Formats: sequence, C-alpha cells, structure tokens
Amino acid sequence: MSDLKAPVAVDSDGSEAIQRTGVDSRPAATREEALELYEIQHTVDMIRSGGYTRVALQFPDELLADSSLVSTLLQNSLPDVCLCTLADTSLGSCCVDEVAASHNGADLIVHYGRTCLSLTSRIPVFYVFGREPIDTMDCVEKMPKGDVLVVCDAPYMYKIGEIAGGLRRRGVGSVVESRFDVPGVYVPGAEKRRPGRVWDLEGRPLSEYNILFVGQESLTLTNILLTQRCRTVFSYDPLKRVLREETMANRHLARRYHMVQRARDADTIGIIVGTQATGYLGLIEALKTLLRRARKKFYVFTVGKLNVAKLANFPEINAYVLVACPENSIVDSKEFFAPVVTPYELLLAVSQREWSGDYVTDFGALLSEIENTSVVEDDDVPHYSLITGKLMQRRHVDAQGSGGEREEESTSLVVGVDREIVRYLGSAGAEYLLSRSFRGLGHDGAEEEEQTEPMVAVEGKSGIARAYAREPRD
Amino acid sequence: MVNFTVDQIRDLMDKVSNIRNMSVIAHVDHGKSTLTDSLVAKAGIISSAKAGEARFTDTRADEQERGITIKSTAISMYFELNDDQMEDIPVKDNGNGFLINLIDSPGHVDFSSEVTAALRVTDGALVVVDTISGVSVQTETVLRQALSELIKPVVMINKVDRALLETKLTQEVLYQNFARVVENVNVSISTHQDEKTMGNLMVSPELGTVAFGSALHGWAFTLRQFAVRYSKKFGIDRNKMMKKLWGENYFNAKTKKWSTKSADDSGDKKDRAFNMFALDPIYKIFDSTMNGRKDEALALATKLDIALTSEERDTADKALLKVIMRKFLPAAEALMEMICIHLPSPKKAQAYRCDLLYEGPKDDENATGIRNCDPKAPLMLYVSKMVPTSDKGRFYAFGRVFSGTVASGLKVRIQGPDYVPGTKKDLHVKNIQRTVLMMGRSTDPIDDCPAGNIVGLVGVDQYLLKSGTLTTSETAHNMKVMKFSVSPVMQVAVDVKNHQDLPKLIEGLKRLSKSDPCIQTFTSPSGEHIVAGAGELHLEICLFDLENDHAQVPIKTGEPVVGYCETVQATSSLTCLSKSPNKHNRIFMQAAPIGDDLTKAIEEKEINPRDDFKERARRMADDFEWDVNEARKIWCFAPDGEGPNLLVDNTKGVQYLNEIKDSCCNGLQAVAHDGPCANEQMRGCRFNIMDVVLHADSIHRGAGQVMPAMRAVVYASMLSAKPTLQEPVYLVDVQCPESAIGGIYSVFNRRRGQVFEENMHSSSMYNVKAYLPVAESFGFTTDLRSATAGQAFPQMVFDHWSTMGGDATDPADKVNAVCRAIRKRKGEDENVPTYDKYHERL
Repeated sequence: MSDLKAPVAVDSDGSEAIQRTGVDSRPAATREEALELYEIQHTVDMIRSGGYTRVALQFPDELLADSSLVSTLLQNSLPDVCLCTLADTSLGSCCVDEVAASHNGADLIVHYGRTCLSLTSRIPVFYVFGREPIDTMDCVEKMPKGDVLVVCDAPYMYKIGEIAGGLRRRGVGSVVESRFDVPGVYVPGAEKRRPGRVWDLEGRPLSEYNILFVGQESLTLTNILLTQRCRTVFSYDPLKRVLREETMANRHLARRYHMVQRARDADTIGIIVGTQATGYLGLIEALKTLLRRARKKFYVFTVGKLNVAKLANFPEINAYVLVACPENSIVDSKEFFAPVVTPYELLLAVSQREWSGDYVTDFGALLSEIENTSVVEDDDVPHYSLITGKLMQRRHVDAQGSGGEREEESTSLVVGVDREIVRYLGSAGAEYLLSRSFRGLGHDGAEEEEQTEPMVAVEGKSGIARAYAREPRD
Repeated sequence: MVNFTVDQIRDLMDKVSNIRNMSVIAHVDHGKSTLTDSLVAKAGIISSAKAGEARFTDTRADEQERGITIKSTAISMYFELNDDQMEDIPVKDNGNGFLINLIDSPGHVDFSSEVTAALRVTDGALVVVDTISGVSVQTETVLRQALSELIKPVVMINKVDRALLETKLTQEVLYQNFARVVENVNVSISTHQDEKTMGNLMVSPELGTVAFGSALHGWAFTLRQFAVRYSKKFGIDRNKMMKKLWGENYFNAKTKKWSTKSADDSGDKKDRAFNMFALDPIYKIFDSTMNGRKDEALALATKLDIALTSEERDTADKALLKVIMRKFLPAAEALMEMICIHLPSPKKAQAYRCDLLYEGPKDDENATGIRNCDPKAPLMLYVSKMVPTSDKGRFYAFGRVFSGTVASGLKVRIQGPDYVPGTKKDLHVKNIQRTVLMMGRSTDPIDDCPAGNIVGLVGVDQYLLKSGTLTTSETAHNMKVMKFSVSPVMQVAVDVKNHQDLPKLIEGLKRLSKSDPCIQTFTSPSGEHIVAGAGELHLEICLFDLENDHAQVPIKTGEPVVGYCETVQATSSLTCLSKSPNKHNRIFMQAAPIGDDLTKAIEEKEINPRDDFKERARRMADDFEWDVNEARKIWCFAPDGEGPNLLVDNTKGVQYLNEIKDSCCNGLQAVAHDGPCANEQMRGCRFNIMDVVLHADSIHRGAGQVMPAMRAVVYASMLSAKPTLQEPVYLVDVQCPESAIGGIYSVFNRRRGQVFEENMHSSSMYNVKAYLPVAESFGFTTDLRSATAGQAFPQMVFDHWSTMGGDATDPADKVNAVCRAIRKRKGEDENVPTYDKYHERL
C-alpha cells in the first residue's frame, strides 16, 4: 500500500508529498476534455435546479489532478455557490464520504469517478461517472454468441445502449442491458430505491446468461465474478481492446473459503467500520447480535483505510469482519496477520452452514440472512478445524455467569489478581495480556527478575513523534 | 470357541493377574491374521455364532478382498491352563482361567500408526516371522516400536510347512534357519530394549519364548511341549530338558548319552537333539502323509497318542497331514501357553510402564493407581484410537483402563492432547454414555470395566479427535501421546464433483481424520482440501473410505503431491535490515542453519520449548555446541511455538527490547508456515536478531509496526542465506530373488534412488535397502513389479528430510525450478524473490 511505504512526516516541508508519484494517476485533462468528461453542464443544471448553495466535490485519488480544473469550471458557471473539494476519503473512495462533507456543511455532494452506488443517509448526492472513450464496434465483434447480460463500469455506462444495440444487430442471442437506477440527484429518504446496478431478465434465471463486463479489471469485476452465478463472465478492456474469459472465480472463491475456515476458528472478532453507506449501522448491530448469539467476543474498530500495520496492532483479534460497501468488502491480501472477511463470510463461519458457493454482499439481503440463520447451539462440543486439522474448543469470553463461579471456588483472601480480573471482566484483551511475556512496567504481580525499581519522574519528550525535540537525528 | 455370557467375561476382568493384553505384530504377509484366526477358532470368546468364518479380525470388505489387514482389531479369548502349566505362572491367585485380549494389527508399513495405537493398550507382543523370508525391515520397525513402549515380545516362527513342503529343507538347514531368525530378532531386541526397567528381553527357544509352526495348518510347538513329552521318558527335569532341546546339544541314540559335540570321539555323527526330538517326528509325518504312505502315517499317529476319528482316517495327503499335525501339536495350545506363561499381566507390566506412560509426577495418586493397576484408584484411561460404529459419523473410543474403573454414566474429564494441567484448555467434563466390550465385529454393552482391561466407550468421540486421556482426578496429567513411526508426507487434494456436496465432504474429512491415527486433513491457503497420509496405499484406502463411507458423495482427487520444507545452508551473506511501516523502527537479522541433529532433537521433543531455559541452554551447549549465553536467549520456537526454528536475541543493550519480544515472536510464528521460497514450512533455521533500533515512543513501536518488519526481515535473512528445500525421503526395503536385482537397480536409478545396502538373507533371497525421494515414489511399486516380473515387493517408510542443495534464489538452479512449480500450483507469482525484495537500506 502506498500510504504504508511513504508516510508524510508532520514536520516535513511537504516536499515528499509533492514528489510522491500518485496512484496510477492519469495525465490531467484539458479544459475541453474536462467539459465532456466531468459532465460540467449537466452538473451545473442539477445544482441550479436543486437550489444548492454549498456543494462538496468528492474526487477519488486517481482523478484528483483534475479537481482544480473541474472546480474552476463549475465556479465560473455558478458564482454564488460555495464549492469545496474533498480528497483522501477516509474510507473507500467509491463510497460517498458524508462525514467529511458535513464538516463543511455541504447540502449536496457531487461524487466523481468509480462508484459502488451505495445510498447516502443524510446528504443528497449526485453521481458523475465520467466518460471514457470506447470502440463499441470492436467490443461487439469480439463477443462470442450466446445470451448475454451487458454490465458496464461507470465511465462506460453512457455507451451501454450502443453496445447492447450492436450485439442485438449481430444476433448473438438475447441481450439484456443493466442500468443504474440513479436519475439525477439522489435525496435520502425521498424514495426507496435499490442501490447499484439493476437489470430485468424477463423471468429467466441468470445462470442461462453470459455476462459481458466492459471496463478494466477492478473490484467491480471481482464482485460480479463472486456474486453472480451466471454461465461465463467475459470482460472487455476498452484501453487494451481485448476481450477475455474470466476464470479466476473458482480459485478466488477457494481462497475466500480458506478465510472462512480461519474465521471459524476465531474466538475474538474485530468488526471494522469501512463505509458510511446507508444501513451500515444496522448491519453492524446485526453482526453484534449474531456474535453474541455465537458467544464470541467482539470489538468494533474504525481505522479509516485499512492497512496491515493498523490491524496488526491488535494481535488479540483472531479475525476481522469488514463492513464496507459491496465493492470494497473483499480484502484479498496475504499481508494481513489475521483474516479479513466479509459479513456474509462471517455468517458462514459462525453458523454450521456450509458454503454453497453463493455470495451475498447487499446489506438488505445480508440482514435477512443473518436473522434467518441459526448459530451453533450446542457449542460445548468442539468443532473440527480445517486449518489445523484438530478439534478446536470454543473459548467463551463472557462476562455473565463467571462472577458466581469466582465466589464458589476461592476461599483465600489474596487471589491471583490477573486471572481474577480477566475472569471478572470477561475481556479478551486482558486475557491476551496474561499470555504475553511483557505486560508493561510495574505491573502487579510481575515476576520478571529484571523488574526494575520504579523510576523517578523525569521530564518527558517534547515535540512530535517523528523526531522529538531532543532526540538525535540519524 | 468358548461360549460365554457377558457376565462371565466381566467376572474374568476382575482377575487382573490372569489377564494378558497382547498384540500380534509382524511384517506384511507373515501370517498374523491367519495365526489370529487359528487362535480365535480355538479360544475366542463369542457371544453369537460366527465361528468358521475366515480372517475373523479382518472386518472390512476391502481387507478380505486385498488379503491385508488395514485396521487393528481386538478380540478376547479364554484359555485354561492345566495344573502342570500353572507351575510356571508367577502369580497364581486367580485360578487357571486366563482372559487374553489380543489385537491383530496390520503389517503393511503404511498402516504402522495402527500398530502404534495397538501397542499402547497392550503389554506383550507376539512377533510373527516367516521362516523363509526371515526378519525384515517392518519386523524390526514394529519390534523397535514395541520395545520403546515397554512391550515384552515373544516370537512365533511361522510358515514352517512351506519350508518342508516347498523348499524341502533338511532338518539341520531348517534348524539353522530357525537359529538365524532367533538371532536376528535378538539383535533388534538388544539394540532397542530398556534393560534397566524390564530386564533382558531376548527371546530363546530353550526358555519357551519362541514357537515354531504353521498358522495355516493350525499347528505350532514350543520346546516346552516336547520337553514335557520327553522329560517323563528320560526322567529329566522339564526345564533341563528344554535347555537340551536347543543349541549345541546332541544325543547319541545308541549309547543314550548326551553331549555337546556333533561328533563323538569315534567320529560317529550324532543328531542334534532339536532335530532328533522335535523335527524328526514332524518330518516323518510330513514325509509319510505327503508321499501317500497312509498306513505309516496312521501308525505314527497312534504311536504319538493321536486319536483320529474314522472320518479323519479317511482323508489323505494334505488334509490328513493337517489333521494329524493339528492334533499332534495344536497351535492354540502352544501359543496360549506361551502367552500366558511369558507375557506379563497388566499388574506386572504397569508397574514398569507407568513412568513411561504418565506425564505427571511419579508419586501422585494417579501414578500410584497406574503402577498398582488399582481398580479403586482414580480413573486413568487412555483412548488410543477411534473405531467407527454402525451409526454413521459416530465412533467408539477404544482404549485401555490403566487405573480405576470406568462405568456407564460416569462423569469423566476428557483431556485432549493439548490439555495443560490446571487449565481448561482441551478439557471437557462429560458423562460416559456406555461402556462396551469390543470383540472383532461385534460389541456387547457392559456395566463397567476395571483397570487392566481394554474397553470401548460411547459418547466421548465428539470431544477427542484421535486419542486422549480420560480421568476422574482433577490433578491428573495426560498419558503420554503416542509417537508414530510414520509421517503423513504424501498429500492429495480432494474436491467434490457436485458443489452442493461440499458440506458432506467437510464432515467426511473430519470423520476420516478421526478414524485413522495418522491421517491429516486440512485446507490449504489456496482453498484446497488436502488429505495427507503415509504412502500411496494408505492414501488410496483412505480416499476410498472417504468417498464410500465417511462422505458418501462422489469425489475427485488431484495428483498426489509432496510437502517440502524450507531451510538455509549458510549464514546470511549480509546483516539484513527491515524497517517498520512507519520507518521508525529497524530490525537487523541474520539467518543460519541449526544443523540436522538439533533439528531432530527439537522435533523429537528432546529439546523442548517448555523446558527450563537454563537447563535447556546447558544441554544445548553440551550436546549441540551452542554458546550457553546465546542458548539462554532463545526467544521462541516456531512454528506453533514448538517447531524446529529458533529466534535468538543476539543484541546488546537495546532499550525497550523486552517490549517488542512478543511482537517479534508473533511475527515469526505468522510466517514460519510460509517460507519465502515456496510457501512451505521452515525447518532447521535460526534467526539471530543482531540489533534493533526502536522509536522512543511506545505507541510507534507497537505490534502493528514490529510484526510486519519482523516478517520482512525473516524473509530477507533467509533469502540471503542460501535457501533451499528439504524433501522427504523414504527408506525402501525390497525383498527379491537374485534374478530381479538388475530390474530393481534400474528402477531406482530412474527415480533418484540410492541403494545403500544389499544382503543375501536366506536361500537366494536378497534384501535391498535404498533411499527414495517421496516425490519420486508415485507409481514406484507398480513400476518395480513390472521391471521385476512381479518378484519384488517394496516396503516404504518415511525416513528423513533431505536437503536438496543449491540456492533456491538462483534461477539456473534445479531447486529453483521445484520452487517455481510449487508456487505455480499455489497460484503465486512463479518467481522466487531475492533478498532485496525485503531488505531495506539504511
């Protein structure tokens, strides 16, 4: 991860940030390109008709280079509107960053670039997908015959009709096009609407269709591969002008399956907040209830964008579940020290249900799945871990019910402080601390021989962590 | 067969001094199961009429089909000694009736783990050796296992009928043959026996611990029987007579004088007493019956007091031979007598086996209970294996009560192999639903079962995977886990044909793992289901079971693959450095090999992470030439806190170092299963932390910063220390006639095999020993058979890990090619990284 390798030091002069090569940023657009690409006129109309006065423009990192140009163009047409640019979104850049926008008191967010089309809960949002050039004829000719569902990545959506029409004229079979259900500005609560892509297969099952995905390899494609049980997925990359059959699904699913098995062995789960899309709070609550029913200990984390170092700070957590928008949920990296699974995978892990190969990412569907799933009832019976090949005993970290046991067992006045606290609090963290060899200085009952005398208080460091005032520089 | 009610059997169980728990062990095809059958036919306790069925202990269809034993099976027998025989029984406070619990075990090496599980619950072993092929590798292996479990051996030299009928050996050659087998067995015994605890265990015919016979024909004898017969005739004491019947003792029939020379002064040849008194009558019977001289044979029978029925008199040739021999020297009689007299009772055996079996203090109530085999002491029961029930997915826990009494409904502590005394780890407190008596194919419920007996339990299978300790004492430690002589080095990926069958496969894998002491099942990081076993035959049987029994869904299997290990061969060429993600912490490290001896010592738990670190450091300094101070600063063993890789603190005066110790250890544990070359487990590596630079502020040197840095620096230091792979290697033992040797060599040459020993071992049979990489062993047996016209039969057992040499990071090296193939299979980038991928500059 780039932010891992190149931290921006707080006291530096900022040169590093300027010199840093951005994440595969494309050359900045010219004025003419920008007018077309960022749908300036359409945006201006929308803002005018809605009467919005403070508008936040949210750019993903790769489009940040164009932000000032876009902002200037909009400002020229809308002199009375206060515009601000949001960058470096705290969570996934495909999601709308409502919190950052409300810091600025915005009454409308314009979201640029790739999007997961998650719905917002407080501030209206207007999506600008951008428009990338594409040779539709090339795409149409390369597609093999068979009934097909056409799905386009956001920047190519404007050409979907053309592609579908081309395919129909070629007579490959029945052609269905997907669309985004977002005409204009989405106002939260105004209407019920399904987020994301929608299509109408006229009653036939998807398994009879191929999917044609137009766009570069991305999380959207991965998501389609995992969640849609169709015949074959073809992807067409307009930049490279190649059509290929995607086969990674099984391999990928198998790897995820391994993750589920690891999560099944976990006793302590970290729930990571990874989106602000509507419904995330409900889902987190549902997961908590689920974990409580399964008698597992959990903690909730907000860590912004994930990286290895952040999660490795909590070695007592055996597995993480990432509550994020469908396109950002799947963290497929071997780097992490604990498995990071999606809510659906966690559901599979704590229930005795085995994976049929389906995959659910939609919050609404997940909620009902969670409610309808029973967790293991007789959890006194150890389960067979497919990771270690051994029987695993569930460790209950459970505050209730342990107090009584404490009174029964002990008659002595002085008890082992550590163990008692752990039992009393039912805290996984405290229990983990007991297994550590270093438990901090001056810890009660520490038996280390090199235990030092308490130090006399001395004046601490001053300045910032990067390099304290009196620390020698290397 | 003896028809007993369950109550009668239960009564016998209380008479501990009259119980014998024993296993039958041998090389494959030396006749264990046939021998067991002949014993069972005579003395087996049956509750329903199943007599007459062949191979009573081979309960599975495929066992009967293939003619080999796959699972070990227990069977109880009852035998009464006469008063004369009772004289040789040391403790005789319980009458003449003996309860013998016999376990028939498989002979093929791939199933050695079954033998281990059988040995644990028995005190004595009947070692069966083929007269013609003699002592083989597997005989030695099982003997070694038996002796390491403090099991007393007695020997049966089998297939004597073949020596007479097929090879037609003369009496003296046959005697020499017997003598050589006995000597070979004793060589094995003397190298492995523990003389201090058990005394001398060498077997000898004159003591009556060796029997000769033919299991197939149902006859056998020990010298004791002939001694009894002749002691009256000569008026010599029986024990003296036995001594005279073996070795350099000769009898001159004319002068009726004994001597120790084969020829007397006058030059007259004299006959060896063994030949004259033991072999001669047998030869005569063989000669007369097989050559159609029936009258002579019948006369002989009369002379030997063998009463034949009129029907029996009507038979001829082989049938007549069998009848006469069986009546003359009934096998069951001889063997039962030998077992009862020479094998120890549980009471006797547990007195010396206790220290080996019990992990806890030698003087607590549990140890005392075991030592005295006390049915009133706290329960100590070891479950050595799981036996499938007719109820799919459920198992009987099969084990031995070492102390106390186990009963239906008793509340017991079920302690798994990872149980740590004083904690709740791997511990369940449950009621035993039922105790059963396990006899071959059938089971009978009993109310309780006292110390010294073998028993089956219902209701504990959910809490134990393969083995474990059951006790009623809260202070009890575990019984020591069994050490297997085979390792699951051969792996195969399995998958379901229909996706919706996946849950059944998972359940099947669990059941498979339960049902076999040695098999392992797990998922690989690439999401494949792996079944790991000892060899091809083992895997074949297990996969068959998985498909037909445990999972009952169609299964597809991949190509068998071999698990490798990653290691280093030199000290890192530079001190590697990795920085934490925030760049404020640096770890400097060098990797180095720890050597084969130490690696093995750690794997054998001779050097144990749980030992006192000062004591351990002392031993490492004495035995493995470590610097004592360095040995004291071993931070951890990896992987899983007990593997053969070490993290050593070589730093001096680093502030806050103890704070990051846990993070460093966790960092190494996280990667020790996943080496940098091929994502295989690390083995035999030492990681020296040379220096550490830490941020002054504790929040910036937390686990999140140290663990990633640790992972990177471990990889960098390995990759700069001539990394390579280690591959598992089989020890192959091939028996063949001389004509097949050429074919054997050519097959070994094609498959990177190394022949290191070639013996002529008996009458034109050769014994070839070789090392063969497991990776080259797929299809080896078939290949060898076709190259030798089916005359050579190999036995393969995992022997050691062999370092492949070279440098895995060098693209021109062949190890690199192996790594690339593994990486490709695992769906990784094929190129093996070099150290600079992880090493950072200052």
